[in-house]
Amino acid sequence: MHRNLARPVGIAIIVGLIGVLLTLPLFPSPSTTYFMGLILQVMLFVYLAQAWNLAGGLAGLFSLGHSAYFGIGAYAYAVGVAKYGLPPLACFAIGLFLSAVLAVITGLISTRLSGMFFAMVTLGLNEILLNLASQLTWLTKGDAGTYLRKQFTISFTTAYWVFFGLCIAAFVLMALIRHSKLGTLCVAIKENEAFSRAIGVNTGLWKIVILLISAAMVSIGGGFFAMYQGIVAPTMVFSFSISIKMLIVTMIGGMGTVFGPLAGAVLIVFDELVRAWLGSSFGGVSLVAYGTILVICVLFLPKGIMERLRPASREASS
Amino acid sequence: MSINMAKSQPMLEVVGLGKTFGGLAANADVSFSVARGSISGLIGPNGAGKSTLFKTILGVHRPDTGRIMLDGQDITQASQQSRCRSGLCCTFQISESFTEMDVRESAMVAAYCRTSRRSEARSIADAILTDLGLAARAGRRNSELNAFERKKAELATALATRPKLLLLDELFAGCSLGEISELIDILGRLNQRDGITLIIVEHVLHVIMSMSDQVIVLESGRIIETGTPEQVSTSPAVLKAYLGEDYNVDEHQQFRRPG
Repeated sequence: MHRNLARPVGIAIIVGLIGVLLTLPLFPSPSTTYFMGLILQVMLFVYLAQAWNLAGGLAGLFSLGHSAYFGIGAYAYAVGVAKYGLPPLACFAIGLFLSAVLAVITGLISTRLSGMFFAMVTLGLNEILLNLASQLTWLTKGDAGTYLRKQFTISFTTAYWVFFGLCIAAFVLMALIRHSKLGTLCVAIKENEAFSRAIGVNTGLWKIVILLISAAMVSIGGGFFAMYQGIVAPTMVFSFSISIKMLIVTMIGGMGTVFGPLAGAVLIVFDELVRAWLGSSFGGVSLVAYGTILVICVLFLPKGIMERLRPASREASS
Repeated sequence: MSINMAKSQPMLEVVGLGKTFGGLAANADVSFSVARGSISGLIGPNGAGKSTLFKTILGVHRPDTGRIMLDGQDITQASQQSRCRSGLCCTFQISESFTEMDVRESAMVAAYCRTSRRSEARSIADAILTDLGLAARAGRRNSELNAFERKKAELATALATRPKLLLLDELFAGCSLGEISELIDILGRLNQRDGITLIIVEHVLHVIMSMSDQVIVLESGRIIETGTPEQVSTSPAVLKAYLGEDYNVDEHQQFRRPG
């Protein structure tokens, strides 16, 4: 493909994709239901990946514990409505508040530690929450999980539209932030924190700001996830595999790019399809395929799919 | 431009600055002042403490003793970003800028310390890139530039913070003669037209000797001489410690400052 075709082709793909997602629910049949289920799964992770991309991709805050915000959002909703009978909106507000507190703590840690050390701390914070959720049985009902009564859950179709809306909102937000002061300063911090400080960037402040936005998005996603699942258990939400999926989808697509998480979604689609087609005859094949894709991406697309699609016009501009 | 300390407050005043790493005194009792609108050269052999002094002034290191005054304001305890907002900026010895970010956006990062509006940051960045002859490279990534363009891009980034005092750490290292004279033109213009006070840390001596109003010579963490290029290049202590005893200043003044 010619590189200067990337932009129109990209726009066509996105318009086509939105068209398919909008019209699919209009034709109910067992096979569309199957695909909608797959798409819902993909949209959930694309949304979460975009939220991770804000902090991890733009600002280089390589968090391995973003499922902490997901779990906080999910538990705030589930415990709020099931145990305390709070209105759903209040539960989301509590989830956002608690996530914000954790984001500020994490942000303050990020001013002291960077790279691998920061990643380890976020991993640890998530483990602490996983154990709390499992041990504080009076609050969370422990490993049995908190069940939601029917009136507090949403249907499959509603969840489909909710995550469709969240995805659109996440991409719009990312596009706006990338070309704002916040986006520019975050990229600067990622690329060279010492130099950014020397040219007047208050690095600590902006890292906390972008983490807050990212955490809020993941927390909202967690709340709707709880609504859709009807149950929240510790290992369902405070799960390392959720954190890792957010970052792998982003990395394969292209860290810090607006459409990276969308491009990276092919990984989840691939993973699900392999599991559906070959999972029963050849157990574990999806993990082998998953691993193979990761190796191929690291070897041939170290900066992600979007880097390969970068328009040539800017390079040839002189 | 002559140094006239009586008339106006100095742009930078360093008093009794000391910095020790472990048992090593990288800087000890360093005191000097830099007049508003002047160009000062900072020279000395490797390990003399130039980079430490540079970084202490910038706020990368906190000094153990002493005070730093920028334009009459005590900045000894100020953070790096507040020093930058007070008008102090630098370029680093090893090209330290961004890599994947394009040249215009890099300069916009710096411009954002003066404005929060994107359009304004962009016009500040574009004006400076045009002034430095980098307008055609504005959309390129820093990693796509050659070494000299990268130096100029880094200088443009520093200028986008609108500094009153600019510290240049070995800006000329690795440049060809043609590139050196282009940089000298640019720096002369920044100094004369925009009134930016410059401190140049440099090993390319003919640059220092032809541009500076004042030369500060560091050796083993202490200032051994301060004076005009002529005074410094005839000082026995400096000849012994750094320049070599057969040094001839006239050979090193071939690059005259414009104006």
